[in-house]
Amino acid sequence: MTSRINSLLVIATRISTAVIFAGTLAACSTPAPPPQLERARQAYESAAAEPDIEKYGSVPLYEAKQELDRANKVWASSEDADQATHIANLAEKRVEIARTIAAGGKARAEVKKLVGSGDQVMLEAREKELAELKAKRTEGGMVLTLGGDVLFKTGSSTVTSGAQVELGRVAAFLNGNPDREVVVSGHTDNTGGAELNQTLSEKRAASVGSYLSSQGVAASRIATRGFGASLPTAPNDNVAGRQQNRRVDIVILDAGEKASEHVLAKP
Amino acid sequence: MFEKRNSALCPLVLCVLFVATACSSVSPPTTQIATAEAAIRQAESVGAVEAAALSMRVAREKLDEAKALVDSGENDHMSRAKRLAEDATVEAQLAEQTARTAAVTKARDEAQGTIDAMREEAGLDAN
Repeated sequence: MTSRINSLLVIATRISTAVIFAGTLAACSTPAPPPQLERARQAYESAAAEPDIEKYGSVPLYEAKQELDRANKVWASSEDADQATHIANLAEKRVEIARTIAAGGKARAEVKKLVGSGDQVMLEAREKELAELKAKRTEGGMVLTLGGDVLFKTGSSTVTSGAQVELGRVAAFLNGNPDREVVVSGHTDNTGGAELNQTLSEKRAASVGSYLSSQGVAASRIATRGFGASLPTAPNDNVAGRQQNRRVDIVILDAGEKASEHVLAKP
Repeated sequence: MFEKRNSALCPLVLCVLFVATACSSVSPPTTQIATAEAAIRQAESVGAVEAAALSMRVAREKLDEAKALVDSGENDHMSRAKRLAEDATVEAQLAEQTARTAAVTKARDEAQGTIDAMREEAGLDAN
């Protein structure tokens, strides 16, 4: 009985010694890793989870990961806490660099987008300006019709002060859009001689053209022509119709269209 | 398993290291210091002194300390000098990127402002 108890005691002692020994061994061989390793890992993980950093900072983030791996390797192979902490610090700084680069990349992409939307604004602004001029879209450009009675006194080809406001807006539009050229066409009703009407329509178109030119639109961008009574838009047998036929059409050509070619192409 | 092998190797490694450090002179971290100097110059060239003043100051101080340790000529200062030079390098790189990002962010804000102004001038709805 005693011997049994003794042998049990011996076993128990052996077991506890073994346990203590194992514990000591474990404590010796695996000291706690320096906290900076974990901090750097967390910094990396949270950065890696951000879509912007993945999109714009993948390379510097990869470099941060390499540094982090190096820190872990140093710790695993040498248990040099100082060196592992140092490299983990570098890794954490590299995560910050990746964040900064990603923020810059994102801003750069936004600038590109803004430049695009700037073009869009220009386009919208042009369309709006043209809409304000009550110009109608036709083939090759936007046509704006000004009543002859508004532009000129009867029989005269000098632009009235009232017309100058309207023409000033056309000039402003052309000055703001230097890639657009303009064709000015004069028309009359059928009262009076054909030759007189032809001359009057040419003079009126030229007068509108020179007014635009006086407002800063290069003469090379302006073409003028007269059609006399040949292109009525209403019957000439009543006052209202004749009034409608006495007009000047201003065609603001689409970008790239040449005014000189339009005059030559059509009679 | 890894740990066990290490613990066995540990005394040996330490001995070798001890002997090595005791017997040979540790070479100064010339490369690391040159790298740090280049990183600082690079950061300065993109305006980091203004845009990331603190980082630049930290980088310079660490580099100066590293150089002073090297000048002391003492072997056991060299590894600290090397770490300081490496710290200075990443700090300067961070400063450089901070400056670059600040510049492009400013450009972005200006572009946004220009477009807002264009919209307003043209009487278009804000978008």
